[in-house]
Formats: sequence, structure tokens, C-alpha cells
Amino acid sequence: MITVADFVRQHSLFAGLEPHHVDFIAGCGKLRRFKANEYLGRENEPADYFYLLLEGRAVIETHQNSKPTVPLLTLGEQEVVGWSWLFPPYRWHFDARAISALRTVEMDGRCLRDKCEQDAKLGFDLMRRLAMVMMSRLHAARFQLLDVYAAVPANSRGSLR
Amino acid sequence: MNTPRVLQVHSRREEIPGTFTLQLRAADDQPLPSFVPGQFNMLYSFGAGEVPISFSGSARETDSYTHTVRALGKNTEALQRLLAADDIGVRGPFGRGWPIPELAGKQVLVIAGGLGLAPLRPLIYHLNDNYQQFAGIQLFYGDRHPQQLLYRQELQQWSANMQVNLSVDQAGPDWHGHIGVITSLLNNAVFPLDNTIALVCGPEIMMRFSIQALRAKDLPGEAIYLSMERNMHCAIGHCGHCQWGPTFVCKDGPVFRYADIEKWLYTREL
Repeated sequence: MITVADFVRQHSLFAGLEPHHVDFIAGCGKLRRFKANEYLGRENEPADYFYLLLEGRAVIETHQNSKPTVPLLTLGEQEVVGWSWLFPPYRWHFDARAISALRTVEMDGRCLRDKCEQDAKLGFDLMRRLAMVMMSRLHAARFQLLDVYAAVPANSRGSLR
Repeated sequence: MNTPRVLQVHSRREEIPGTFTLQLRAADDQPLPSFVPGQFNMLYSFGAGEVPISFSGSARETDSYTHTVRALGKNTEALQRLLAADDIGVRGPFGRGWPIPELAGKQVLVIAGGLGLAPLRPLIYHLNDNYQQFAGIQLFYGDRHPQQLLYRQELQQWSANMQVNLSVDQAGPDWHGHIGVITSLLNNAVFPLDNTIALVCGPEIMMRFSIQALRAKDLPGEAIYLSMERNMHCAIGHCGHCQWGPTFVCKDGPVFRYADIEKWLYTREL
């Protein structure tokens, strides 16, 4: 039988983590499925959990008055949804919604924070791994801001495309 | 090759607003020189000027040339005004194309950003026609918005023989594909490090970031090729306008192996 610890161990966020830490962390997790269009979290609601995506896709989105929702980023298997559980006031900054049937490990943020307080080495390792995810998302957001595909008038007569 | 030959516009197709595809045919019975995917022609709009444009059609079409152009300046706007049966001056084919002989038996990653899909399309036709010769084909194509994706019908057709991964930077709620930068798709791509070749074409920043994502996964620099853009005038390495480090993009490129030009790619204001 595959346990939560197996799914945690196989997830990219925890690749290479020491086995006893995997078991320790897995104690804060449980398997959870979402149907398409079900919300994993909603803006300004308490962010008690984050999710390791195992199968399916989710979208991070926001809304603006009466206009349609604005999808910002889609995430798939081996990716992570949610880091608001790490920092006060522990509330979601955006909506996170399943866009297909979704299989996840739901991690209890408070439980994990407590464990990191107990084991500073684990806490540092986990923080470093989450910082990598954040760095990657920040890099992507900067890349998006560059708007590299925008049509810019050529300043010379030579352009292959 | 160095004197423009007069061809005729056979057909013109609006791909997306401001971006169009011209199919050119000879006005006489003389055959057209063959080309290698990745090469380019100098297209001369009479009374306006000349501009280098990559081939975007199949190299198997021996009686016509196809070019996809974005109207962004005087010369390309003049090309945009051409209609069927209009004359156009053509010099070429020029440059070094994609390394097709090296691709046999390999996992091929084709990575396109924006209009960069056009210079890759002749290569994609080749891969699609001969898909059994390769260990696998993965196309990654990123653009700004779903409405700006090129060749949408063909993308669907190609997915029969290759894995097609689309990504847009921004989208409305009706888009069900991936939203995010193309590098996020590459971060999750699976390929054997010792049997993969990546071919990249798009805005230079997009190519740098894509190459960084590939290198972070330990794909060797020798297995990455990219198509560069620089200011080209003569197209035969004489005028020096497209000099880039020790190379001329028009003659030594536009396709380069990353391992050979890495230094120049990270040299500022070159």
C-alpha cells in the first residue's frame, strides 16, 4: 500500500530529503482529491494548508470587480500550490482552483510550522526548498513583465522574424 | 544569388493581425534554389528596400518559397501591402540552417517563442514527415496571448506525431492551456541528457532564459542550437553589419551551436 510518506518522498519539493525527515513531514499530510472547479484556497481566507500536486492541474487566479477572473499561472504535477501558510497573517493572496480532477497531498501548515520550530535543521532545509519554488516563480514573473513577445518596431532593416 | 530575382506573390494569408504569410513562385520556368530549414532569403519590396526573412514553409516544396512576416517597419510594411500576382525581389537562400543530420535517433526539443515559430516551421515539417526517425519530438511554444499563437490548425495536426506544449503569458478564463512563461514548461520536461538536441528560436531574452533552464537540467551546451538575429544587409558576410563577436550572423549563422557562441550571448551591447 502506498502511504502519504511515499507520495511526499516522490514529490519534487522533497527530493533527496532524509528518510526520517520525510516520515516526520508526512505526519502533517493527507491525501486529498479535488473535482474540477473546486477551490484549494480563496483570496483572504485562512491559509491553513498547502498542496503537493500529484495529478491534474490547478490555476492561480484573481478577480477584479465585475470583470471575469484573471488566470495568472497554471500548475501541474510535481508542483506546489500555496506558501501563505508560512507567513503571518496566514491568508491566501490569490484564489487557487482545480481546472481538472486533482490528486494532492494536503499539508497542514500549522503542523509543519510546529515541526520546523522543533527541528531547526529540518526547518532550514524546508525553507530552502520553498525559497527555490518562490525564486522560480519570481523569475517567471519578471520574465512575464519583460513582455518579450510584444511587437516592437524594428530599429534596423535586418530582422529574420 | 547576389542579384535579386523577380518572383511573384502567389498567395497571401493573414496569420494574426500584423503578421502574414507570403507564398512566392517563379514568374518563369527556372527552378527555385533549394533551401535548408533555418536559412533565410532577402526579400526586396520595390521602392522600399530589402529585409532578411527566414523560410517558414516546407523545404519539400520545390516550386515555391513561403515566408511569414511581421510588419514592424518600412520594409516589412511594404511587404504587407503586396497582393497576389505582385512582383517581389528575392536573393537567397542564405546562412546556415538547423543541424538536421544530427537529429536522427535523438529526442528533439523544439523551443519557440512568439514569431520564432516561423523559422522553426520548416524543421517541424521535416520532423513531422519523418517522425519515426527520432527517439521523440517535443515542441514547446510560448507566446504572449492565445490570440497571438501562430499556425493554430497545424499545431493541432502536429500533435499526432509529437508532444505539443503551448504556454501563454496572459490569458482569459476561456483558455484551458498552460499559463506561465515557457521556462516553466521546460523545468518540468523529461528527456535523456545523453540523447537530446534542443533547437531554440525566439526573442533573444527568451532564448537565454530557455537555455538557462536547459542547462540547469544539465543538457550539454553542445546539444543546444539557437537562431540569432542581427542587423543584416548584404547577407554574404561582406558588409560587416551583422558581425557578432568573431562571426557574421548572415554567413556563419543564423543557426549557431550554443557551446560555440556562449561567450558572445552574454557579452553586453554586442
